[in-house]
Amino acid sequence: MVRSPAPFLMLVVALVSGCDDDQHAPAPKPGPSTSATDSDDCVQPTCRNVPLPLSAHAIRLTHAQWENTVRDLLHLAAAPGLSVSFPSDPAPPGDRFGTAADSLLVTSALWHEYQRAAEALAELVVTTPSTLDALLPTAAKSGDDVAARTSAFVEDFLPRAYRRPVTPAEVAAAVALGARAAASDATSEPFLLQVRWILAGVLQSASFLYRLEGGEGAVVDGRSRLGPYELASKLSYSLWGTMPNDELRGYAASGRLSRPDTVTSIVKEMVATPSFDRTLVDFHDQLFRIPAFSGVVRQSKLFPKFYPQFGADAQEDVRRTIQDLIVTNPGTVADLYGSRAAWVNAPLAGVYGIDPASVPGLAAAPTTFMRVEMPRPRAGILSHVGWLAMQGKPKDPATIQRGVFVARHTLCLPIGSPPPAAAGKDPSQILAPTNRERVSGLTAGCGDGCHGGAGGVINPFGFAFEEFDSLGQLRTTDGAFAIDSTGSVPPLPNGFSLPSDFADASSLMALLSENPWTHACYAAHWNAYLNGTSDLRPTSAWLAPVVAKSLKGASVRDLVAELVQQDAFTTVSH
Amino acid sequence: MAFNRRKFLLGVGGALVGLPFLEGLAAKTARADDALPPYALFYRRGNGVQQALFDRKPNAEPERWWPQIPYGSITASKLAASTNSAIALELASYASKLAIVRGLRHPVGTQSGHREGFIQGLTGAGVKYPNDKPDAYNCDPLGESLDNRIARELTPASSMSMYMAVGAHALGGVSFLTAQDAQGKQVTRAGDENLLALYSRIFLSAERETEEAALRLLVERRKSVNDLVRDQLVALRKDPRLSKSDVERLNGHTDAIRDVEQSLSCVLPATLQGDLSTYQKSYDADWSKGSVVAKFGTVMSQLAALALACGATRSLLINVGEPQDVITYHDVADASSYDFHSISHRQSDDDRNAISNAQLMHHSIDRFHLQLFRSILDRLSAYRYADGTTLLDQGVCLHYSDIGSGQHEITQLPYLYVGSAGGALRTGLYQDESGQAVVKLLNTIGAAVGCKSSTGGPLDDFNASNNGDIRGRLTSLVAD
Repeated sequence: MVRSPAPFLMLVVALVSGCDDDQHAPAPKPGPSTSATDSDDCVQPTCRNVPLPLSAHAIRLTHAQWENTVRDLLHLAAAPGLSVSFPSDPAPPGDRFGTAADSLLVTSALWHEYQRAAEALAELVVTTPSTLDALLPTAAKSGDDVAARTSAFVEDFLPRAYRRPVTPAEVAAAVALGARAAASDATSEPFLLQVRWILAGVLQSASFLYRLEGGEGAVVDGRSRLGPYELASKLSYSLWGTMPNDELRGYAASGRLSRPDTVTSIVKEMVATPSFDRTLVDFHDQLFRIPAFSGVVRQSKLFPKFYPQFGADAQEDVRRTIQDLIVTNPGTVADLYGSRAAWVNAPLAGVYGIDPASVPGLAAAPTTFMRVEMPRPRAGILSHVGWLAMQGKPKDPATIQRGVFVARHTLCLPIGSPPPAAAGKDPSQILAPTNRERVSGLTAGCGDGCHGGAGGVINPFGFAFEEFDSLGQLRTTDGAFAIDSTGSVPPLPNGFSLPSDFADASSLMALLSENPWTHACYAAHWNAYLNGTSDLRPTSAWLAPVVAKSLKGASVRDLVAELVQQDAFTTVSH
Repeated sequence: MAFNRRKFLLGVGGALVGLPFLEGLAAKTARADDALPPYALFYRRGNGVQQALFDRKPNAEPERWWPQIPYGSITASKLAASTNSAIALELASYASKLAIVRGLRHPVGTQSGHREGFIQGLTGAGVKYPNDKPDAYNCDPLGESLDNRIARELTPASSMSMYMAVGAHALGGVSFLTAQDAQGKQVTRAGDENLLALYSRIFLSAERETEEAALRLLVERRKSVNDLVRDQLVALRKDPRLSKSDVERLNGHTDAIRDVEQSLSCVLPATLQGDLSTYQKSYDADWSKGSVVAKFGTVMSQLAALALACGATRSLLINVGEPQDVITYHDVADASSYDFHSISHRQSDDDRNAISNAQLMHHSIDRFHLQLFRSILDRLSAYRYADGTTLLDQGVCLHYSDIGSGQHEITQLPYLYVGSAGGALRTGLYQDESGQAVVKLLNTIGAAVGCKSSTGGPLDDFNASNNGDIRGRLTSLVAD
């Protein structure tokens, strides 16, 4: 599904140079600290000599990573599910992935839960013979010398738990922890008692709970490269959501993760695994806010085709579509925003305006999800009923929210927060015959560069979806009036532009699918997801190689593989 | 008592943990606003304070109690300018959490006796004269005291305050219940002077020893794990490659461990039981109790803070001395030659001879009491929440004496409080409330911790039916 860039794109690239008028990105600082890309090679908008992102060096595992890690570390058949009682992490503004280090704190409540979970897991291990047997190295499985067995266990377990070689002092500390437990209890079997409390302790230790990425070697331009074990860990958590496996740790030990050429082959292997498939799903789940679909409720009087399972079915639709486009097939960014693929069961087909009888097999199996082609003007994920309904009010479409989403999350254009005076105001308060007029009336006072007017992008983007009602159904009229979904966005001072006006959502998506800002924004989101930042600026030069590949039709899988080989991923700031 | 003793057990080295209780508690107390509900602690000492007012003359003595600074907001530096004030000398470090309420009075009093004062100190309700004429020695309470009102209303299953006393010789006179005795008088409570027994009743469980042993081991092992993690975090923070924000997050982690271990885990100081045992032996051996008040302060402050941290009570009363305090304060070097009552009257009770420097002795005893009070504040401050607030901020600690000075004044009563009761009270101020009845402050404190009036609003009619219908709160002390 590799595509050539559209002719107009070449024109845009040729017309824009330097991009120094990006009013939203910080002014470039003198000095290096950038990736290799220079403005001569950049693809707009990634032309600013922006320093690589600052790094966190101690990043607490996310709850999902914690689950996967204990599963793999303890050789459990499945994740234990204990994190369900962990307090949710706060998401800082701008971060929609929950991987930002600043939001991953150990609070009192979380520490208490870590404590309980670690003790529960430790007990589980020592009381489940098969689990214990899988965990213990041969030298620790039997024998009369409890101390020797304990040491053998620690020496095997600790490097896996800490995801790096350990020091003799660390081994001694863990052994001592077990010895203290045994000394206080003469009635329990000493080896199991020690294993239990060593497990409980290690699972609460900082080296287990945090990804420690201090960097190694020379500091050049304020950055150093991640050590091989640090890189193994970061790659594993970023691409697989769990601890590095034995093979990856072996690569670190052998030096293969210290050489760019072998890193490339290792990454290629990693992104071809089912574990990375799950990461792909997780990323897009959050990018498009799919979990929020389940909150959609409409009155049947206003929306007769709404049904109780709508939210869940709409989620299934988008997830299957992404699976189809990106996971099963080597789909691209353009596919995400331009594909007409959807997956529907019979009730959801009705919401789409598709006759179930027209879908082979669907009438016979109405609860089965079938792949369909969405009719115009639908195109891309943002035309699926779930996303449209999520961006809907009880009666009218949430036009402003739809526009904001496109601007902020598809293009990464800076959109300010509503002014305090806008609080409590809603288009329904405006007396006008159509939703578009009500939105225009409500936002008219905002001025140029705001919702509409010169430089305003929110309303034009939002109006493109006027053909979809609050449930995402196609509509041709708004009351007694014909729908107007046309729009235009003049070039912005930061370099963003569209080559033409658009008539509807379909044509807007066609423009966006091939716009470099869409590709840069998508890459910026992955960068935030992989590097744990909330920086969604698409204007950094170090994104340029990825954006260039994306524009040329590289698959999402390949884009991620490219991103994790960039200095922004493989080095840390100091 | 509403507090479930069954859930508390003694651990090795004095560590006290109530596991089922704690697991619920810790999850709720990540932030102070999710933490324990507000509480009130009352520290009562007798005989008034050494202030300018004496013998009903407004400037009879140098002022050594009230700060000589303008009314209004106070800071540590402002208080420091008032170098003669016992409050300034002892509580400056708590200036931002302190409210000095000057000018309160009792509604009733002959001004010739202690009893009218200590009866009204926590009732604000006047007194009943059985002979229908004012009689300083023959008067009875008219209403329950606020410590019990708070307990009765806010912890119905535990309708009395926790009440500790030292040197009181089992005499009542400060804390009253609504119930009446056979003579139709309100029941007067005596404080608990056996702190070891009190501790045992509250915290020692009736659990079987085997369960205690298992939990003791768990406590011990959790501490070992925490020590291991703490050591790792300390070492990690020293890594020069870490950024400031990395270190801040790791500091937060360390704080979380401490929170769970201490305030959220309801863990006794390791030596408390031993200290209590030692104290009680000393106390029982000293018939006059004058040599153990400082020791009382050491263990009382720990026990009080622990009881509040563990949610064992929401109302705690501490009384020092008989209602008319006759302790000879051996712990106060320059005031150890006479009993406090004599000092407070500036003459010996034995021979009626004047006591030279009695004013300064009284002042020293005032400072000593404030030091004991401050030791409670220090203990409460050590229980910290993740958001930076402390257990002290969650409640209000009132320090008072029920007469103005040693000559039984019922005006210029020395009331002050520390702590905002979770933000319900204003602090950091020196407030003139001249002529206002004490009951208005009691209404204010009762409302701050959650007590309601007869109409369901914030408490503003405490004992109003007995005190001449004095109602209302001191709005200057109520947070916006």
